[in-house]
Amino acid sequence: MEKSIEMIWKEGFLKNEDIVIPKINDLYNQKSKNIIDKIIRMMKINNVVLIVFAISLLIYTLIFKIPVILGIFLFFLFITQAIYATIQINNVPDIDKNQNSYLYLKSFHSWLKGQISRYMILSKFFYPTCVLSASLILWFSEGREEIIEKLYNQFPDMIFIYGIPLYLILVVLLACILVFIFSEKVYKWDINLVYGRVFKKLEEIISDMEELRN
Amino acid sequence: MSSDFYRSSILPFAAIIIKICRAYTNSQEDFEDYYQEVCLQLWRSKDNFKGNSEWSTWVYRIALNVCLTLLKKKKKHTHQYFASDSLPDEVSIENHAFSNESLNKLYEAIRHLSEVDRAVILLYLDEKTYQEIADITGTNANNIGVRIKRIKERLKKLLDGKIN
Repeated sequence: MEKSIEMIWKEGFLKNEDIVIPKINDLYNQKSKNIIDKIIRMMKINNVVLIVFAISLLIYTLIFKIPVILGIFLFFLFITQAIYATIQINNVPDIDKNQNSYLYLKSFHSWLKGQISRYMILSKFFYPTCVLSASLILWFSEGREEIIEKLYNQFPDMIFIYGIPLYLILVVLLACILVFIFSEKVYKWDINLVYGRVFKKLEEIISDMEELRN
Repeated sequence: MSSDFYRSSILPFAAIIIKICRAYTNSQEDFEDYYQEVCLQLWRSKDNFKGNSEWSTWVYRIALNVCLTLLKKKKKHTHQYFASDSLPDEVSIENHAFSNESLNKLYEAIRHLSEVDRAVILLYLDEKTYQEIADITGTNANNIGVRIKRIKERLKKLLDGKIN
């Protein structure tokens, strides 16, 4: 005779010794695999990278005799971003995991969306800043004369603005504009690659729950 | 984590965590990761427990919420497995979690359900009332009965001929 699922369940868990409890060691020191904890960890790592990068830039400008004012400017630019990121981390709400599943998923989803939209705005300025910084450092590095000479040989009628070839300014400007325009797309692509599956799953679960609520 | 907390507040409820984590995982490795994560989150959130509900209800909530949002890549064969709408004749070795073969088959069928349906049926099988199921999942008790009926029909179809 066919058993009902209730019967299978009851019989299956009748003997408690059948339930093998996994061994867990040093649990508290283990890294959480929860997506919220993981994103916060990533934000903290990004922050450390920003600070290290800012300090490295300052040291680089001092060692390689690049105008120190540029080093200080870049240092403060990256440190400002690190401060912004720290504020973001400190503002991460402690999403209560004891809420009912629907509310938990909703607050988790809106927190994620908020983080992504804030970082999307930040990326609009962050990526062009990186392009500009790299260009300025390259410009003030050794070998500049060589580049100008090569460019001058190629384009003898080249226009200079404050000693900088116009073509170079245009190239850097174009790169900055392109990076500014596509920064959102790049960030979205990057985020989708890492969290796309989780977002899709979350949205599916929430819509299924909404169906059950109404 | 203090071993006292684990022994007094988690171990007696380990069966709840195991039952839920088994339904959301397809391998022993994933299962152990999920179990560990639920224990970790229970410990982290223990100070938020104000005693407004039973501790077991708290465990159900945390376990379900963690399982619904855990970031763990599923193995490739899992996707192929879920693509099918019928159960394999034999339960895979990896899913041979319990000594009771019928229970293993039932779990395999439960894993074919959507995440929400899994939560609903697990709570139902653990004899939670419709109201309790609705409270834990944040849904409407009036719709739970209909949903359970549908889930049971689907499970029956999946299990048809697989269990005697």
